[in-house]
Amino acid sequence: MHKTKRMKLRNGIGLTCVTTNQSRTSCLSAMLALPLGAEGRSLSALLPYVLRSSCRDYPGQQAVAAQLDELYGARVEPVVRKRGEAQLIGFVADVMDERYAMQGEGLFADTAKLLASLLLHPAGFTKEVVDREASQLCAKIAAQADDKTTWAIRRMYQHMCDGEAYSLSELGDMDAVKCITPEQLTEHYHHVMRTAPLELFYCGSLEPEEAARQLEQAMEAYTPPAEPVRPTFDAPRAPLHEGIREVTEEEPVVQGKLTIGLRSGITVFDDDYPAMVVFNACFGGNTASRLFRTVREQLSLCYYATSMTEKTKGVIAVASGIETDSEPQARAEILHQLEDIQQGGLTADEVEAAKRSVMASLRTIFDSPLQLENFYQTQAVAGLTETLDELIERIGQVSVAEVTAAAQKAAPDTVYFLKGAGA
Amino acid sequence: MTTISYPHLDECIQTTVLDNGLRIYCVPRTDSAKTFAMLAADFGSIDCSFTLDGQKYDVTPGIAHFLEHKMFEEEDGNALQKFTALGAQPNAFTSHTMTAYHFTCTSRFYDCLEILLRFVTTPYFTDENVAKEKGIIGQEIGMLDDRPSWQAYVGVLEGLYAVHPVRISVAGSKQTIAPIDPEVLQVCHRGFYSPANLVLIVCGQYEFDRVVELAKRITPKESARIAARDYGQEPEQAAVPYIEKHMAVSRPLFMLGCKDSIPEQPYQAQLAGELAADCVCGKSTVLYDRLYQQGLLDRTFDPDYFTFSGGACAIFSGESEHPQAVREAIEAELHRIAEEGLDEAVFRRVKKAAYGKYIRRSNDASEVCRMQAEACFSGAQCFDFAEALREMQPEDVLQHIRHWAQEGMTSLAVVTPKKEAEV
Repeated sequence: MHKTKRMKLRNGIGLTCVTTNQSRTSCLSAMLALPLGAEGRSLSALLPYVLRSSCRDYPGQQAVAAQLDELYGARVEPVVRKRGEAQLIGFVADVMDERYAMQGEGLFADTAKLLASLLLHPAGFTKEVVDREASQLCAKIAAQADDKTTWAIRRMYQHMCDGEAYSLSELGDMDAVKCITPEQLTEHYHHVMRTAPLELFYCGSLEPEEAARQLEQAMEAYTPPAEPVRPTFDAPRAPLHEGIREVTEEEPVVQGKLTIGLRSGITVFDDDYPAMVVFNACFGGNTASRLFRTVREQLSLCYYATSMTEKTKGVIAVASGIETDSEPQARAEILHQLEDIQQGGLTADEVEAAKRSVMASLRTIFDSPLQLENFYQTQAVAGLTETLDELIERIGQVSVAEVTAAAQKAAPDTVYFLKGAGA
Repeated sequence: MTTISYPHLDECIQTTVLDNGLRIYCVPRTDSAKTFAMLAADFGSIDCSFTLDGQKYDVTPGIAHFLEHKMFEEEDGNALQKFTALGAQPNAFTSHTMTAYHFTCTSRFYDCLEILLRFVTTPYFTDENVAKEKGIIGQEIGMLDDRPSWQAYVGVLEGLYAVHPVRISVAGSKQTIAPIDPEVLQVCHRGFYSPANLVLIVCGQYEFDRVVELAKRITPKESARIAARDYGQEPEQAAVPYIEKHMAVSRPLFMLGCKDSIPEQPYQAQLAGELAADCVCGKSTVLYDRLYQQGLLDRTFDPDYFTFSGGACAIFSGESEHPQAVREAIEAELHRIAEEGLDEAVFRRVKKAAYGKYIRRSNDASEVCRMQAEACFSGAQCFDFAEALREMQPEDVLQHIRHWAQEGMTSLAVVTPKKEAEV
């Protein structure tokens, strides 16, 4: 089985350790947390990509790639994430467990060293590397619009949360990214290292003390910020606009994307968070949900109709891909199902099934080191110490009345329709 | 029961074949939180021309996928909801080569297994439920049509293959699924869902004897004659050198295909082909580094290899402003390696990384089941990779590269941004 332990390393770095014998890989991540609304968001977004190609010990992408091959195809990926009003930047690594190695010891220690080296020992940023990575980041920002399924959700939140830091992109703004110079980025790197709290996550077969020892060694050169600046979270409890806001945009695609934003104000910091998670499952979280059964199975309007929550923001997105002509019918049915649930329409069986389904999918996270990484790094940036086991237990205690109460807080805020104008 | 052991990998496979021909493979994971089960049919979109009981059928390639959707429908409701009510997560997929139904659960495994075995072997098609599904699948096809990476993938297979049905999109089109009726679904079910054409794979916590007992009780006592398939006479060279599509993308997306000969030993060929693609332009090669430095390739670039009944090909995919320049560089490298041979150090490194990649894949119970389904339809077992990689020689890899380097073996598919006038 597994055990989870929160620790502080000697040099002040936070570490969550999940020790398990069942995993054939170990996972390690290092995340710096920054306020999303702060100056230099675009610089921060570029940083991990430039660091990966600017290492003193492994100069250039090929040197890093060759070392990763030697570590049996280990991966060390630059990561930029948005969690509520926090921007997380850093690296996620995973490597095969040592017991499968044909020869050679220390696969994890060497991977940790490589990750630490990328983060802590840049050889200096050259114009060539900064320009190349900046143009790749710009391409990545532009490409967000290419996948219409996720793009429609992003656009909806931009409209719904306009005026809030949450509407900003974690990848930065193209105009700002384009102008970044090596000098600015160097200065920003030092600023980040001086102010942003660093958090590590480890999952693998090592006992917590041993993992901590190896990580302390790898991170020896790290000096923690004297006064770390922690991101703060902001979750309005009710819609900030009067009435439901309607936005329609047109794109040259076949399928329209109907996306409805709800504001519940219930976040992972609240006692009724588990009830909100169960409500989401009943509403549109799985194949037994109301939206799947009605909008897809009964009305045959779509292939997918789902709802998903943002745990640190208290918002929910309902997403569906439909014919442009079906928009009124699909929207009416989605809102009708919401109202029915709010008026106490959920049966005890529906809620029980949803709880089982949520608990089962949370339990399967234990089988995936990368999903555990995501869960615990989000907990860490939110300053939460609740373990996955504890959350599962809380889900199990949710009652029908609590689910209905949570549903009543979910107010429709923005209806965004990405209209398919034909490909 | 036969047990196949892999002591170096700390793995084993328990297996048996029932009297009706159903093959059962179970992989124990005593520490795993979840158990995953898959019932897969050796029936994919390419199996659209076949002879059954002396009669020749030519059906639309989208039929396998349509059948997958329709199987969930049972006389007393929908199997999806039965799984969810038990807290399990069901799903299914159809590829060019197989149709697989699966679920993940953390409890009530045998109840879930019973549902799986029953619904896959019990057809229930009515005019009404078939008509309804056309709306849902039509929207799924619309979603795929809007997905640039999917369009590039379909494009490159169209470019490589003139006759083989792999050239047609797995889901088909709205037009080609329109004539599908209960009769033709029934024919396909009879021809390809007979126990001898199915495999049951379990990974997680289970009692082998109970799995076998349940499968015996629920699956049909006898197997129908498996339909004989026909893939046509495919020319050796690529059908067309270049295909271009215009879509709402921010920059060009490409897939370069290299047509290979029909594999004699598909499992070994798959591994050798993957290594070959990595040796040509994997992330740790000199070529990739040069193209990366020149800004012609970015980190989205991915070399891959694909085997199926009646063919095989390598596919190099990525995003680039200059796909044609990437093609020229890769083709030049194919010629260089074909003449000069493989760099031993690259071969050794890439092989090591491949071993680690397969270990990583076997971390996840769902991946183990998928790997086993692919392997056993190719006459192997999923953990044979370790032995096969150990025995792999540079010459095994080189022969693929030499084949790709021959005249007329490549095809490039590019999805380019729509120009203003087209929008």
